[in-house]
Parts: sequence; structure tokens; C-alpha cells
Amino acid sequence: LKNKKSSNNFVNLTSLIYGDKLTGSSVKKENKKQADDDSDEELFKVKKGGFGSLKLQKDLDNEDQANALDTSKFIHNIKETHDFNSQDIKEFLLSKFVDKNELE
Amino acid sequence: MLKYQGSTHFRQRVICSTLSGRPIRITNIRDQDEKPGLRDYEASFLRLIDKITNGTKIDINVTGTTLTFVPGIIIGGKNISHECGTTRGISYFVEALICLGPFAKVPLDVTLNGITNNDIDLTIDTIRTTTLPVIRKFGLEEGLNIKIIKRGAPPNGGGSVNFKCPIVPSLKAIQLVDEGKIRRIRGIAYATRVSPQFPNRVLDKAKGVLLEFTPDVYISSDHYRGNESGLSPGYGLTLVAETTTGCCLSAECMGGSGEKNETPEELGERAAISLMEEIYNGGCIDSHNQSLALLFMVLCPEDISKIRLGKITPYTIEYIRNLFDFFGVTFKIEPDQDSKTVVFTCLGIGFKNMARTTF
Repeated sequence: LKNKKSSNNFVNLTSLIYGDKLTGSSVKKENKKQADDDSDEELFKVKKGGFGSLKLQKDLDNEDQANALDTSKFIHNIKETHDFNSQDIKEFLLSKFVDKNELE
Repeated sequence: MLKYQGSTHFRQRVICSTLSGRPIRITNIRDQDEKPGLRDYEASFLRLIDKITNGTKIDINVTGTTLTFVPGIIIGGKNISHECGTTRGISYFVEALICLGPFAKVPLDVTLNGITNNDIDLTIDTIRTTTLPVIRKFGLEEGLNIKIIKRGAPPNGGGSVNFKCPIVPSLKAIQLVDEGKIRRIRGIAYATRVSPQFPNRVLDKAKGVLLEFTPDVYISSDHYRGNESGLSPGYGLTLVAETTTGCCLSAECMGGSGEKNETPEELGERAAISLMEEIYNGGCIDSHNQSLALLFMVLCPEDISKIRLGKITPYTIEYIRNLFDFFGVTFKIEPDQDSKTVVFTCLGIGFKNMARTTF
């Protein structure tokens, strides 16, 4: 998995999401998640930086937290928080809005 | 029969099982917990599924730690009423009905009683303002409606919602890759059994944050009193950012439950920042509705569907895995490094509403 990590922290999402399901072995992912093996440990390290929320898949091992995951709103609790006072982030956000002059 | 372990993603599995017609067995449901087995809201969810289907077999063992679910036919129907309880919000149940309703024998008309707005599930306002527009894109247009009869805040609820869903012979494939630019922001600041000043304070603060980005911000205040206000006090804010291509991104925050020591101004700011996070993450569909859009893409006719999503949530990831298990569909997943979004493409399975009486 480490080899698949690209320079800008994007990882091969297809293999991360589907795991070994696409390679013929249809071992249930659920069981795999509950087995706390080393390969999973690596999986979560790789995910840092790119799609940050993916690393929280590890938390599924904990039944209570996993149950909390059963709501789409969970994203609010695990989101990466950004400093919207930062000039870079503010400019990036402003670029996503229609220009004020166009609106007028 | 598909076999799973644990209580995770219970709803997803029951929904996929009902749509695909594949039975499931879930074992070890909280078997290590002090209170083992299914929770009250999960049992309530199964009762609701039983009400809208015909021929469903649900077997739960004595301790509630093992469930065998053999799906029947979705029949839908009018004048269905369901008590959702006070553990989870009404949206927990409505989200499932949205997935199943279009494929029923007759249109669905359900009245659900319980909590309309809480901080665990999506609020009914977000479902109405962002989820319904998403599914309209798949061809469900006329007759799809959510009406809030009474608002109900936690802990006692007392809210009531009417949900109507039309039936369709099949869905329509979509191509939703152009996010466009945010052209306006709309919102609702609501309050039940508290002073009308509360929603005004919330919306003033949120508006202050959002006006830095666009001048077109309009947030309405919705104050419920008397019989319409449910049994507990509460207030909150739902925000929706609409883009030039018709996409909607939403965020919401709820206060007044007593657990958080938060002023209305802080809540307003938190909601505005949550919306900024959604906009920052990008995509044509917000994080709350990713899984629903992916499910409907799978159920589309045998045609290519394509959508652009922002940061994918753990819930969505598990949904994608379940879609593979139940329907055998694999998505082509292409990260777009410039916009930090992900494009999902799949070939629909050509799912048809076989329960429908006339074609």
C-alpha cells in the first residue's frame, strides 16, 4: 500500500475501499476489520493527509464508536477543522463563490 | 444469505437487503456490551420496515444479538403511522424510506412521530432542503414531499412529520460532475419552546460570518409555539449553499439540549463554519447525501452514472462496500487532484420496480 501512495498524499482509493474483494477472495470485510492485524495498522497510516477521514475507519473496531458511525451526520464530529481566518484558505473558499461583481 | 457481525451499519444492510432481495444474518450484535442486542431504535426501524413491506421475515434471538432478515416486497401505502421513539431522530427512519419508497407497489404516505431536530441525526429540514433535491435528479419529481406538522426537540420529542414518496418504474441515470460556484446561501433558524430571540441571535451571527463570502445570504426565522412546538425546548440552524449548476451543500447545528454550554451566537458561528467546511470539501453532493446518491446510481438503468463528491465519509465507504456485497457493483473511483474531489462512475444494474401493479 505504501508503494501506491502518490507524492501528494492521494492513495489508491479503489483498493483502500474494496480491499481484497476485487481480487477474488471475498472474505467479509467486516470480519477483517474486527481482526486487529498489522496490515490494517499500515492501512491507516497511509491514509493520513489525503482523505483524512479514511483513517477513522480504524475506529470501527470499537463497537460503540462504530454504532455512532451509523449516521451520515457523523462527518460533523470527525471533520478536519480548518482555520478560515487563514488567508490561503479564505482565498480558496472565495474562489468557490460567484464573484460579487457578477452578482450585482 | 449474506452474513455479517456486529451492530455497525445496521440500517444500510437492511436497506440493501430489502432492495436486492437477498436475506442477511447479523450475529454478535453488541454481544460484549452491558446491554447486549439490538437497541430500541433498531427494533423500531425493523417494525417500520415490516409496516411498509409484505412477506418480510424477521427473526431475533432471545438476547437480541442475532438477527435473520428475509426481505419481502415493498408495498408502501397510505395512512401509515409510526412512533420513532426518542433515542434517534425521525430522519434516521426517513432516510431509509427515501431509499425504499420509490420502489413500492403504491405511493408511500407515512406520518412519523418523534424528534425532528437533534444533534445526532440529520434534521428534517436538511432532508427537505438538500436530500429531496438530490433524489429529484434521479427522476422522482411529482409527489415527493416532506411536511413538518410539529417540531420536536430532544429529549421528549413530540414532533410529527408527514412523508410522501411517489413510485417510479425505474430511475434515471445522472451525470453530475460540474459543481459550479456558490451563488447564494439560504437557511432556517428554528426554535421551539424558547424565546423568539434565540433564532434571531443565531441567524445574526451566522449571517455575519457568511456575508464575508457572498452578499446573497437569506436566513429565515421559524418560531414554533403552542401545540406545534413539541414537548421540549430547542433551537438550531440549517444552512444550504446553492451553486450555479443547481447543487446544494448543507450544514446544520442544533442547540438547547442542555448538554453543551453554548450561546446562540456560538451555535450560529459553528453552523456557518460547518457550511464553510462543506464548501471547502467541494463536490456536487454534500457529505450527508453521498451514500444515497451512490445507492441510486447503482439502481439506475444500465447506463453510466457519474458524480463528483468531496471528501468521502466513513459511512459512505462502508456503503460502497455493502453495495458491492449486495448488488455486485464496483465504482470507478478517480481522485481529482486539482479540486481535491473524487469522481465516482458506475454502470447501473437496471433495477426495476417489480412490485408496481401497472407499467
